[in-house]
Amino acid sequence: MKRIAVLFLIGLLLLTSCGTTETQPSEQAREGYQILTDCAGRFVEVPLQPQRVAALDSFAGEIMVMIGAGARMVAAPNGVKSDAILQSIYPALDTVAVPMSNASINAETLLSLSPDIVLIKESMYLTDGEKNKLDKLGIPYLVIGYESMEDQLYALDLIGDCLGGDAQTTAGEIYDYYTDTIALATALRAQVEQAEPLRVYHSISEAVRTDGENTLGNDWISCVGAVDVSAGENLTLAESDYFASMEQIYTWDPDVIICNEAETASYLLANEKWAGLGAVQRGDVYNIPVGATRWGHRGSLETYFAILWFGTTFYPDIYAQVDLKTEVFDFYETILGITLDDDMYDAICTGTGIRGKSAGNSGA
Amino acid sequence: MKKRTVALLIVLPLLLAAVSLFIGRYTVTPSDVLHALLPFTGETTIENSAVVLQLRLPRIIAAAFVGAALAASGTAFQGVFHNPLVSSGLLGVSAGAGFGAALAIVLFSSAWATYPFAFLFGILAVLLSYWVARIYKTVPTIMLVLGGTIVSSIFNALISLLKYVADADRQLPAIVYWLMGSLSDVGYSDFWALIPIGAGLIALLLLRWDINVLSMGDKQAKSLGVNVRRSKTAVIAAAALATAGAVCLSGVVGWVGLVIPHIGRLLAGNDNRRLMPVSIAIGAGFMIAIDTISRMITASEVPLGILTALIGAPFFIFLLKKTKGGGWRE
Amino acid sequence: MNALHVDDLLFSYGEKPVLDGLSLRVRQGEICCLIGTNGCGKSTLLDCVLGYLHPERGLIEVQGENVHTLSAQALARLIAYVPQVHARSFPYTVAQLVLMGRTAHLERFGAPDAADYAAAEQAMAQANILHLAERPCTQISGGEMQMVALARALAQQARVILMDEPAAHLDYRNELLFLEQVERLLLETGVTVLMATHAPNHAYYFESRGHNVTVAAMSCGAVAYRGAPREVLTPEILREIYAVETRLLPYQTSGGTAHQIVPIQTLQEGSD
Repeated sequence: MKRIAVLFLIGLLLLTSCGTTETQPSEQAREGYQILTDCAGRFVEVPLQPQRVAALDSFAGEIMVMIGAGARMVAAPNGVKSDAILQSIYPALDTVAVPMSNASINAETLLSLSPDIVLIKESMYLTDGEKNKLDKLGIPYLVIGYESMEDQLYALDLIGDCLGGDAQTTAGEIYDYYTDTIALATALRAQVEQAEPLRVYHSISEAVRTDGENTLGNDWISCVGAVDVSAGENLTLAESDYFASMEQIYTWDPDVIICNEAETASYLLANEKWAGLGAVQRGDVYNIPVGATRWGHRGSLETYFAILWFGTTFYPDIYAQVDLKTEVFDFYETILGITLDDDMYDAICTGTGIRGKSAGNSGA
Repeated sequence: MKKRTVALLIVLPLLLAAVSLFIGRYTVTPSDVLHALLPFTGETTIENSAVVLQLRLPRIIAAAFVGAALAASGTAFQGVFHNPLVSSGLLGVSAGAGFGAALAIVLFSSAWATYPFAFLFGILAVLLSYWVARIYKTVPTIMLVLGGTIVSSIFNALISLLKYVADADRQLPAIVYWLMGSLSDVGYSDFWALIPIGAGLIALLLLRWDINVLSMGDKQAKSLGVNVRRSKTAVIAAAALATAGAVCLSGVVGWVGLVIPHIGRLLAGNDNRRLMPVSIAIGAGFMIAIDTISRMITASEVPLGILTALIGAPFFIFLLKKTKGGGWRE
Repeated sequence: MNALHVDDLLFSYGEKPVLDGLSLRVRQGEICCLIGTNGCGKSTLLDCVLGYLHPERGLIEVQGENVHTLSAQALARLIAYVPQVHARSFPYTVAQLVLMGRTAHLERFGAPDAADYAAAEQAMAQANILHLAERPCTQISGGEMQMVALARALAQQARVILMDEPAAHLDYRNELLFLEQVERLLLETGVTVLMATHAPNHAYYFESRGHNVTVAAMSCGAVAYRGAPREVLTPEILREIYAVETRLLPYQTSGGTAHQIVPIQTLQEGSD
């Protein structure tokens, strides 16, 4: 009797271990498939050159459009669809389906799009309910992470490998540009630190929302040689976001304030509660430009431009060799295949008019 | 309870407010605080005076009004509905205001509309509850409680809906932050909300004898000589006005409107002539203390709703044990 | 002038009228015991007289004034009310409760002054509850609570007091205590009392003490019989109204012959 029970349990174990797309690295991929390691360290067998990709994450969606694979994207979050430059790269962007609302997937809608592969963000993978939905659908999915520049590069490489073909080549070009920029910043870093490492307060969407520790914002700001004041501070996490208190910001007394949205910058400059801050009094409040993606934003690829913008804006002498405008024009022309004009460049710099105002309002 | 103790309780919020001006994460020396407040006593830096006058002072004033409004409304609602378990959020004010704020965040993506929207929808929710409860030209108490519950649940569902469609990156955090309750954004430009709060508080103080009589139930109140419908409407309107003003300043802060009245009852008895001012004083003092702690203990703001319960509940239990329940009995 | 004059009242909660063509007169200084089966409309009648319910038709006058045109305050100066059970939602002290009887005499937004406190204290003295003054009402007995309600009605200084089965929940002694209290009240202040009751013997009690008692027996939404206890509380009428067989027993007191009516057995309804 006992033996039967043991056999039964073993059988059950064998049964449950089948039916998953996660594979051991030693195994060979089937014909027409390849095995990739995603950002969560999973080995996933995915079809070669997938034609229908559901990007359920804005970072992945933006990359797909930028590397010229917009036409293979069958799903994307709203945030991707509202960007004017991405739209000019891939005009049919606004017809892409949105099978989700915020962090929740609509499984049937997703299934009806019959994607070959799904790209999701790390936080979605860590949410059991969402992970279970995807596991049930049986469609292979890759987890995309981007909490540091290293993560971003890995994810870019992964998406390139996954898509293959021209898209992979373009991803490689962007990858090289990204690493070159980091190398440049690293080389100039000593000079920056010698001159005067600026103490920076980085506002994210809301005036008091900021980076916190171990975030992309920290990573690129310190790469340049400046100091993100929110790093190392004991901030309380409120639903995956860090908020600082006003008096804490006064205590930090940052040299400059940079905001990922132009609106926030003008709000800070006009608000009486911020008026006592040295940076505000000196007018050292800047908005970070917004191009194909939001520069230096944790879910956006163009961190390299955030680095160059920061360097040329605050350390023009040290970054004298870099002309930001030329860099942007060249990059967009040669890699993204769109020609900018001066008006568009202005819009990028002022951070207005590129991203749709009411992203997300159109519903799911 | 002695007259002196009552007087002491009334002075308490003023005392706490004064102390609160001197403490915070940003170090300002006591003499600099004084210079910032009273420029003729000496000079101080722009930073110091901004921290004292723009960050601390408006928050302290707003906290006092919010605490007073929630406590007074809770006291009034408990009396009028002769139910010690109702709070200032009854009749849907909090849920309505929360929805208004979320709607403004989603529609306009900027801060200016949040406060007026919160206020208007708070009032709208009360009117709706009243309308739901109206049957045969009368507004039975139990129907009002039911109406408030229904309207609250509708607005809570609408809040969830808005959270669902809001942009996860920029709007959702703002909504969540607002719903958790905080005074960190309050500035002088939002002080118009003190007018409905003040008006509501004055009206509730004037009506406190009526609240006593109304707590006897509609029939007895009528037989004792109170125009039940008029008085009840006046009390509800005043309490709703004050609560809507408070909620639009601070976001949704639970607990205060339910338990502060009971702390008042334990200390000052149930006669609203004494209870109402005592509740107002305790509410104001408590909120000043909570908000001061909220801006002090970490580099972030700790949501008020968390602190009110964590700090208030032990205090309440202590009082409950000490007064042996204050006359409650099954 | 009658203390209370109700004429041709019609009231319904829906389709079916509860009161239909009800008329009643109570003279000054009289105690009128209102009897009738459960649900016959006694409480509804009291609520109409209190101005709490609005009849569809008919007239109600208290001391010659129409109750539905008077303000709540003016009406409360004419009529006070003693409920069946007092809801104790908050632990007010007895003194605070009695003081609420002064509401009808306050200015708008006013609070009781020294004269009101004195009146409340006098009312508590009259009701023999001065010793309870500072006790929370949640910690006194049901019998004491009814005395508090009575004291509150006294503090109200109204000429007419309505009582809705005030002794229904009291024990043997407390019931009698309450009746004695009402009796003293009738003697000392000369108020008029309309008391809904389920105990016919309450009327006989007051009669035995020589009070001016009338009984109004309700049936089918109207007053079917009205008169002195001996005229209305007869075995015949009680059989008709309650379907109960009763016997009227005389007994001797120092003042002469008094009566009590005792139940014998229930009868099939409609057997008469």
